[in-house]
Amino acid sequence: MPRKRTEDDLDSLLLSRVRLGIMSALAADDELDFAALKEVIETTDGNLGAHLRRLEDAGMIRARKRFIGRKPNTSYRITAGGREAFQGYIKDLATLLGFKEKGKA
Amino acid sequence: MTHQAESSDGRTNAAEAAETLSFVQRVMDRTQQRVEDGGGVMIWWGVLTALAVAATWGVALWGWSSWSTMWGIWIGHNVLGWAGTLWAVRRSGALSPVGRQDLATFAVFTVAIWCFMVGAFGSGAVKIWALFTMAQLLIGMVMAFSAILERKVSLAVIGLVLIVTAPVLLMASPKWAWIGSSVLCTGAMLVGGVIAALIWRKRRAAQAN
Repeated sequence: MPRKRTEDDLDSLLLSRVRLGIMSALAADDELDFAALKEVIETTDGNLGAHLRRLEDAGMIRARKRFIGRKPNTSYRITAGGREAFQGYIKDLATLLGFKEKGKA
Repeated sequence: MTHQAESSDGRTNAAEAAETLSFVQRVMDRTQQRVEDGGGVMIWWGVLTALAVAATWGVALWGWSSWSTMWGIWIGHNVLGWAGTLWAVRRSGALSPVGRQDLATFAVFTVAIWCFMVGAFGSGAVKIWALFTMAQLLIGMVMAFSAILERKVSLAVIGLVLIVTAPVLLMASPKWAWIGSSVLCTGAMLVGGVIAALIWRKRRAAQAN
């Protein structure tokens, strides 16, 4: 029986540096194609492709395939749910950081 | 294992959280930097405009100015400008937000300027020197928008001064006052565009944060 996707599943997706990098880049820019993401994240085609697929399957990003001239081009956008999950994750980190720093003081 | 679970079993500490946040910031900065690097189109238009203005003054000073020369210079400026812009868009594939904004801005400028020029010159005899004012307007626009995108206040002010003084110069002559008011409307549209661009940038920055 398929497991229901929870908030924890979405958080766990962001534990990977590559996936977190993809989400950060797409949060900073509306739309980026594969080549641009590869340049920003600095990873291999295969690795990037696999992580993009996972994020797409989770509904955090949306792909758009088209042809530019004769070359196929795939660009990606962050979804509303993806943005919410990303912001939540960052907020959690900031809260954790703030909490620890307060604890130290 | 989730972020929360990691927190609870003590494996994620403040140092890790700070490092992760720093990584996110670095990626966002790098992405934004890539967007800003797309200013090549702006430079292309700036150089072309400078060349077109130099050519306009050059032919006028040498006494070679004629309708066909002037129109040729500015049509050439627009054709080359747009050819370069579209080539850059095609090459980059997905346009960055700033790139899309630049493109929309230039499209509006081109349409506005050509509507004005065709309307003004088509409806009656207008002296060639009026083209210099148009050139001034174009330079002002390029300067103002480049400066706004690069966040250089002094350059933006100079650009806006050029935009505003161009129609004022025309309005100084009662004969050409009607052209001046048309250019003033175009100038007002441009200032509106600047404000809209600034609001758009602010909203995007807020979304990214």
